[in-house]
Amino acid sequence: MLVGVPKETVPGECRVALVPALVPRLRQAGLDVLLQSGAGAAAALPDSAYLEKGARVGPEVFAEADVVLKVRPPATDEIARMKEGAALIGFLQPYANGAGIRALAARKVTAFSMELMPRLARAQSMDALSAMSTVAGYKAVLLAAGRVPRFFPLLMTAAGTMTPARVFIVGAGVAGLEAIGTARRLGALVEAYDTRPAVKEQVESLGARFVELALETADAEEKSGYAKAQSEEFYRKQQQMMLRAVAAADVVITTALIPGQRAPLLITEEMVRAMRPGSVVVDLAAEQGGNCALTQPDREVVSDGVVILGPTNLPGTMPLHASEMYATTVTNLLAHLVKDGRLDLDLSDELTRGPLVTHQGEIVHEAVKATL
Amino acid sequence: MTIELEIGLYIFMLAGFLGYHLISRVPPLLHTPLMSATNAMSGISLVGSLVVAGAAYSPLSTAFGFVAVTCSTTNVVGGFLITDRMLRMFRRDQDRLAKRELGRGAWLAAAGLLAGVLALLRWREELRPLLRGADLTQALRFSYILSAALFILGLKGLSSPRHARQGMFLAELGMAMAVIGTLFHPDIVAYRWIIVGLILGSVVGASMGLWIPMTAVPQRTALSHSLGALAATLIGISEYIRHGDALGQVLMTTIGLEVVIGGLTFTGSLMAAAKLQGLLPGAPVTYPGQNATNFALLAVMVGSLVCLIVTPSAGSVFPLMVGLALLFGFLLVIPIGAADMPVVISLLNSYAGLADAAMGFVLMNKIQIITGSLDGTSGFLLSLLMCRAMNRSAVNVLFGAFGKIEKEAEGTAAGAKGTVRRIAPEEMGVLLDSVRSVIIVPGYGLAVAQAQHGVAELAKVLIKRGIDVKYAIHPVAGRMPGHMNVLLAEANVPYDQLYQMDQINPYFAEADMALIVGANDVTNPAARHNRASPLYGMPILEVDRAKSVVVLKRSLRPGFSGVDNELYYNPKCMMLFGDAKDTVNTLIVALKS
Repeated sequence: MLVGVPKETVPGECRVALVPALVPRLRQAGLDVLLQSGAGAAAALPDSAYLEKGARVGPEVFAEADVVLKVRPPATDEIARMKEGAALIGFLQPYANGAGIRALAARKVTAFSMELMPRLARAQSMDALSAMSTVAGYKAVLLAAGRVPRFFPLLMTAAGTMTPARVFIVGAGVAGLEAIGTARRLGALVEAYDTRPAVKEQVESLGARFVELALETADAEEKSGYAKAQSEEFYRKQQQMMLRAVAAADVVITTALIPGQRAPLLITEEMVRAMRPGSVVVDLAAEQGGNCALTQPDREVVSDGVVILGPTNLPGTMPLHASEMYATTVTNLLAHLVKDGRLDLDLSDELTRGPLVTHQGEIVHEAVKATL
Repeated sequence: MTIELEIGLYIFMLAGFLGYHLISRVPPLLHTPLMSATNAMSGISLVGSLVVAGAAYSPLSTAFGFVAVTCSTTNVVGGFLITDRMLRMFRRDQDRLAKRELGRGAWLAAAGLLAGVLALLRWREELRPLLRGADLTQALRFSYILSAALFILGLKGLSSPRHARQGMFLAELGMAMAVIGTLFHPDIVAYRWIIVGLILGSVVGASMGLWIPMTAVPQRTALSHSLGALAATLIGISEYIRHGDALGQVLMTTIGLEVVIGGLTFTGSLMAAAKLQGLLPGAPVTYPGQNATNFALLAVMVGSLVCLIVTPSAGSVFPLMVGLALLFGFLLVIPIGAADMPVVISLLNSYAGLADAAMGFVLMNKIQIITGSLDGTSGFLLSLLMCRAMNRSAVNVLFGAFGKIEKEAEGTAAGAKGTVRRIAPEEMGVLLDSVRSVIIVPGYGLAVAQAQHGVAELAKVLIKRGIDVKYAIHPVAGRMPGHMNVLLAEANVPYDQLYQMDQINPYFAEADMALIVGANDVTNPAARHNRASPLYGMPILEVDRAKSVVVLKRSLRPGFSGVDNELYYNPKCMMLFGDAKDTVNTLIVALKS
């Protein structure tokens, strides 16, 4: 069976779905690997690195591959070039990319969406979302540290004492926690807020302060671990408290997302006005509408000296390790699905059924089918 | 009441109080050696059995005496050998070399002593005229007093792993003195059955003590209790028959107590051993009206004892009473689950001790009264401590199977609960003295307690002592990827001491200790085999392959997954409860002192 790894075509996407170090593992599982020439170039992975590990390199991948590994959803023309009945593993944006899903079904592709991986203990090695969030949380802090005109840590020098940066992180999920850790490594004073009170201990376990907004958020956590959408009234009260925390911060990093919905608006224009000039806001929810009212995806907005950044593809800016982490999760999934060099799908296994979106011409994922 | 009896009762009471205080100073780490040590010391019933076996009162007496000698010798030899095996674990490297020379010398001395004693016995008749002046009985009584003192010192030694082996040596010396002295008891006329019994008992005891695997220690202890109880019961029956019509009420009481307690302990301990060994179903066996039946049986037994005391000549009641006692022991133990057996064994240890004390009253042998009382209180206290460690009341453990039969759901992660072994931070110092390699497993608990600096400091102290220290970082330790890395980096732990799961797992088998600091689910062996567990299939750190496991945890509450960790019920796992930072700091202080 041939595994194909194409070059990503979305502008600015530097990641690749397979790294040279994982090629031997696939070959041991009885699979051949065909890489599109230059696929890893943007991730500092030249073709030669893949060739050394036993992969083939060619100009076209979709037509020949039995399994395609991708980072971004394939374009319609790419799907058209795919073999009928081939398999696809990648981020498919199943709830937003209806056309793509239908095209995949029409082409009888067996498509697995990495966003739909079930949150089981044994699926942790296949959790691509957490891996990418880790990268995003880390990079967000570096971005802010590079953009803010001050030191992050405390410095007491003959030329004066430079006070540490105050970093306020909203949302303490994977990205938020990683951001807390990174900001702490750089020596900043870190505060964080999340609607889920259970997260307080986790925030404090990283040495940061948990901002108590003294609000009852009963039932704030979904079964999946994500935060639940709250009522309008709650958001209004929350914003009053946030105003104070945001105004005091030099760096605000927001990571609040709600699956399947627009991201919650947490930083209003009023709050941005209250911030000191030279402060930076990094909004990681830009692609889903943004947590800040002034966010524009992939554009730098300056408002009264406050810089608002809304990067939509932070993992793409750290392509070597982001590719490595992503490729590891994808390879783990592929290894689970393959037996004796062929695809062996056990549809009773939650690990196989969970991420499966289309199979043999049908959209088999219930939730996805419902939204389309 | 005779003066003898009065003194005997005082001794019993004082020994009981002494026992309580001695035992409460024994750290949980040494509870298992304590049980086998008191079990070995209860073999002092050998002293009484020797006389019965050698005094040729009647063929039946000699036969029972012979069995009693064999049983008691098995207990003495097996008990001391196994205690020594366990205590050897706490030896420090520096002591190891010194003791090797000592060991050889000790064997030679023992062999020489044995030869000397046998020679003395062989030529006893020839020597008798020479010894006519000497009053052997007086010498014997003095030696008993000395033996009693040595036993008490032996138990005192168990209050610290450092002195435990020396203490045991003293106790062994005391036992040897008492036994050898008794061989010269004036009542003994024939040595044939004594010698056979001693040899047989030594062989059986030695093979049990030397070759039994550590995991089978509870069964062996239960079996020893049954043998000890059997010895007491047989001696009691033999004395009953011997005295016949001359049986006074006081003597009847003591004999009656001896055979009743001895009888029920005999069958009860056999049941316990069988359950632990898997020969009987480990699940509690209950039936409706069990409580009532047991109480009724107890009432009839007590009634027959009272009847015998009032009319000591009521011959037919005696066998009835003995039979009921045997049955009662059996019925008492079958409703208790295998997981609760350690508590029961400890309790039966206590009963065996009481039976021995009763035997002491019967034979008017003070040293038996003392050891019986010490044994009794130690067993009782241990049972209470164990129940507390399991967070259940003693009543619940012993009678809990009645009323409702709790059916645990198939494959619930709770599985076979048992006792967790606790250890105090001060005791850890001794353990860490004897390890050569430690693998530290950090988890979320370390993060919450912010113990990374303490752990790094502890590692530095260990490394300075020449101990190899590695950190095992599970991929999902903590609550975020790289959680442990952030904290350990903050504490300046060098990257080269950190190992990822696949690298470190093969090393656990060689490691002397796995030190788990606040990690839970990533060490749970249920992930390997329990399909019903939410953790199933997740690769774990193989900490249970290490030679010993110490877990620093706030409490027994489950971790993120919400399921109990099987690891904690593993016999090689010890729990150090408390806040990780505080515990680690105490450890550092203990090590530096």
